[in-house]
Amino acid sequence: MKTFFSFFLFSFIFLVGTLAIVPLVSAACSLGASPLEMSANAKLGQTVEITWNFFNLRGDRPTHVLISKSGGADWEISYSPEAEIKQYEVSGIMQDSFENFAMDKSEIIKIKPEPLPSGKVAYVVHPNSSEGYILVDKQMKILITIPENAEIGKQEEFVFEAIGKCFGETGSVSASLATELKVKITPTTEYMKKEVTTSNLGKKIANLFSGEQIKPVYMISTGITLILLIVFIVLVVLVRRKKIARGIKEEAKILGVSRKKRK
Amino acid sequence: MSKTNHIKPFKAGFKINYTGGIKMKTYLVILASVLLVMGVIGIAYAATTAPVTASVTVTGAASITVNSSTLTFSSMAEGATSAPTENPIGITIDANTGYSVKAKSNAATFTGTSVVNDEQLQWATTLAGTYTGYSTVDATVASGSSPGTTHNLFHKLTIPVDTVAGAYTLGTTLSVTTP
Repeated sequence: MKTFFSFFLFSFIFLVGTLAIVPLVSAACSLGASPLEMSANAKLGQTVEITWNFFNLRGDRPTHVLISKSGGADWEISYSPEAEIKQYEVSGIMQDSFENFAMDKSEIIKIKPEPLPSGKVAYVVHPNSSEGYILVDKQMKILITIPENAEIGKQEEFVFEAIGKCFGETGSVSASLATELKVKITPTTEYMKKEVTTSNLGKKIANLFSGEQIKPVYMISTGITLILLIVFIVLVVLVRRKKIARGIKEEAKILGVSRKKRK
Repeated sequence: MSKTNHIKPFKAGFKINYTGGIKMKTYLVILASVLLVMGVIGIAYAATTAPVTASVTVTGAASITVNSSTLTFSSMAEGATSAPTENPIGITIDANTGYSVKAKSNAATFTGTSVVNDEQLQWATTLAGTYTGYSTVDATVASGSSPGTTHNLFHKLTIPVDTVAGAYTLGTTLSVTTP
């Protein structure tokens, strides 16, 4: 009886312990990024540098990230760091990974990190802003060069995809994680930049003669002034005519008086 | 002698009172000055009080986390249907904007001896719900706008009849996208 009871107790403890331990062995894989979209104007031949921040918000193992362009024109694009094959020992087995970088779980802090702690390259506001700030370990620099023959004013949209993978699990189906960055670039010219810096007063006067669209309040102000000027000119003309007419009348009166005197 | 009226030239010495004319001239000068000042003020005012539009773009951030990045199936016979050990997969999204979660297969067929199409692997948002086969085209499996939300994704796999015995693998991609 005693033996049976001991065996039962031991089995029960083992079962409960197993059920308690198994859920604690997590295998979370996480991929986060910011920003999600951006835009820029650039001159022909200029290179635009885009900074894309990455973080591992909830993962319990490193996330291996590979960046590629999934949409956009065939412009010259380069990445830093560049993708390469790296080797990792996972549970005693060497595994190859073609990636730009790998990132461990990111640190989250409540207070804005100014200055940045050593080893961190940036910070991102947590998507749930009440959680604080995410310290960024890994940044991707994407360099896009605008070709000399690109069409001025025509916006080009690029889509960059980041694929994240985690090691340590085996199965028939393996899931990668993905997020993307949309970049819009508009080629511009030197002339357009100079026009922006013209003073407001000069621009308004130029607009009056160029026929460009003018805001209603300025048109009303200018219109009233013009109308009053025209009224003024008309008045001047009328007054001068009246003056001349009066002058002639006065002269005729005087001459009429002198004629009477002569008689 | 006939009298003829002829107008003699205007004689100096006769002064015509133009006091009223001088006053009018002064008024007109004053009016002209006022108009000029108004015009200048109008243009200057228009230039200095141009409306300014303040705009700001809030930087977007999004994160996708899965509690398991693999699906493990026990040995299955041809014609059998089975759910993986990891069922459901919990997909947690943290984003400060509206988002969609999409799923697709990375290839049209499993890697293995026989041809097993990716659509043999199916997903659903509830255990008893409608299952949809995977394809290489993104399919929306969930959407939301609140950070920290977990979406469950259930799976099942059907092995076609006449499938040769052996190991079969398939890669899939779960992505978070924003409008």
